[in-house]
Amino acid sequence: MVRRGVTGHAPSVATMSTDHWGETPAAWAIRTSALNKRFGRTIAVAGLDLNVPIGSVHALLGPNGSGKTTTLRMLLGLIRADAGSMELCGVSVPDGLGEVIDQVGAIVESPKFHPSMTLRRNLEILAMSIGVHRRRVTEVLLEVGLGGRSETRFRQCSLGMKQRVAIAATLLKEPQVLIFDEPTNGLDPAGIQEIRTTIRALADAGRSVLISSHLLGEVEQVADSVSIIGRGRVLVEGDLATLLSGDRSRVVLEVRDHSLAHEALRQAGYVVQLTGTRLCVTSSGGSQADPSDVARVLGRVDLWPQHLSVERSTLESVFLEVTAGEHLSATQGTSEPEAS
Amino acid sequence: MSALLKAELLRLASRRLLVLFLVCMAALAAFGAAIDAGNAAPITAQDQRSARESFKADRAGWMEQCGDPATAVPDICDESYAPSSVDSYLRVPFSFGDYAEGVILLGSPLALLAAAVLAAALVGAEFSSGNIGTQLLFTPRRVPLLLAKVTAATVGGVLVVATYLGTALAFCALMFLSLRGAHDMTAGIDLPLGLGRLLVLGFLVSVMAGALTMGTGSTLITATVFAVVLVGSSTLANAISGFSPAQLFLPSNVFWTMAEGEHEIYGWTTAAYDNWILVRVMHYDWALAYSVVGTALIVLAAAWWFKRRDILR
Repeated sequence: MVRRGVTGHAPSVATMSTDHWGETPAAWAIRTSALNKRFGRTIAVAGLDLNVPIGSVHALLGPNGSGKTTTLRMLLGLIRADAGSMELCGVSVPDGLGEVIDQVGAIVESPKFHPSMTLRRNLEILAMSIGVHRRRVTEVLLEVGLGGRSETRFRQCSLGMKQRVAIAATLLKEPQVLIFDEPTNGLDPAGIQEIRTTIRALADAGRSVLISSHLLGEVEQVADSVSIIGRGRVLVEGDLATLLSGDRSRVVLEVRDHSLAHEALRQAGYVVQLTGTRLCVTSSGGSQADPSDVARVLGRVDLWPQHLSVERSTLESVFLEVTAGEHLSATQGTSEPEAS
Repeated sequence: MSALLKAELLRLASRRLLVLFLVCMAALAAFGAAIDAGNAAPITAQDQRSARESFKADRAGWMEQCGDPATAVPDICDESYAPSSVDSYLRVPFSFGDYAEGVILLGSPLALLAAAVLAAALVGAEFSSGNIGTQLLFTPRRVPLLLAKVTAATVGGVLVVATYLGTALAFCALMFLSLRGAHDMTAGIDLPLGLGRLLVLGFLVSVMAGALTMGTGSTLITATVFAVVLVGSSTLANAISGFSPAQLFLPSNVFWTMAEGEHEIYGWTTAAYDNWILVRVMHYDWALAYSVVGTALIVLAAAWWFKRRDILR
């Protein structure tokens, strides 16, 4: 199922039947309701309702300044919310954060550790602070492929290594919920693939993962569901498969006589748009047009397409469609103090 | 809490900054012991020669001024004012206690400053590196985290002061043994009392610096607050009358009382216009109570502040 927020920009989307978006409270790893945060006169988050299902990878998407990082920081107790409620693993936070933090691993923005200490020492301090045995440090360093670099100082690490250290840190607790803010920032393609594999493996092992990212291609490959936010509230939320399903795809064709084709298709109940030299055809309900039927309709008026293809929706096209106008809005008053 | 404290102590032990401060304190103590060693050295032939020369010069001057009874000024030329023996011109070598006290007092302001700077820098680095945010993702209970960090910073600060005091004592002892031998090596109660006072002061200064930095989130702001309070307080102490009860509450006066055991405040009245008189003596027990209450209030304020702080880095 896809939920649509209150927005003038969001496209109409169909309701699907099977999903996580049933209303069983235990089905949510993370939930926020009417969350609000203001920095002075700037509204960073405005009534955000976020639902992250258990045991899946959920992506939080939105333009710069849409409130992603602020939301994550509020969930993790780094920033105080002005209003609204939040739940992590069914526990109300920030009051109950102490009870549930052992089940939550998180990286917010770039990984931050003590620069002059070695990777091992940084992790040992964190492990010790939560009563985890130092032996676990060696294990998680090996898990993220940093077994041989444990004595490197943090400031000498590449961005990719720093990300991996941060992931290693989150694994110290063996968490059930993982929150990653821009986990692939600054990584090379191999590093991105590695992180993607790691995230997928974590979800496949039954963990719930919430990622915030700008790399829509990456998100598309790894996420099960998404929330697209803008101006501090959810614009669209739902299963990725539903968002990208056929009902949002369209038939693109080229014919000699545009006006004749337009008229014939319109009479057959299709919605037609002229884009350059091409006609984009969808059914009147917004669902995907049947390409063979489109060809038949054109054939009846003796028009034979020079080109006919089905253009499927991508996360990028959905994102751009949903957030159209949000970039401008964000810079006009609902931005965060830091890029998110 | 104990796990947090252990982690913070491990962090403290891993900081090279601590080692740097400890080495600097040892060097400061060695320097102080070396430059003050002359006061503890036994009387030498050179000292005696100098004393004789000074005695002769003064005696000659006195005779020139007072030798002729007709021109002698009665107030100055009384025989009791006349230089009478060479011995009074010989310096008195310091006892071990005096020597060590002198050395310790010489560098103690620097040692206390170092303790405050270290405590503030240890905590401030957590904010400037953004590590505090990472830490809070593991231990979101902020007050225990503050207490653990302030405790570790205080341990660092006290370690700095203790290193200074310990190495100063050790260098003084070595120096004194080589100059005078063991038989003269005695010290009164003032030396251990002075050491204790400086350790207590080091403890309180470190707690204040650590807690304040947790509240402000910046070493620089803490340093500014410390500087403004001490300089402002010293200026005010000189500006207002010694008779004012406010003198008892000025941090600079309290600081000197804590360091020296007591602090004398002078003032003047129209009756004694050209003559400063001792108005009051601030005692250690008052200064200690005042400092402990003040430190506790700073810790409480820092906890409140840190609890409400948005961590944006």
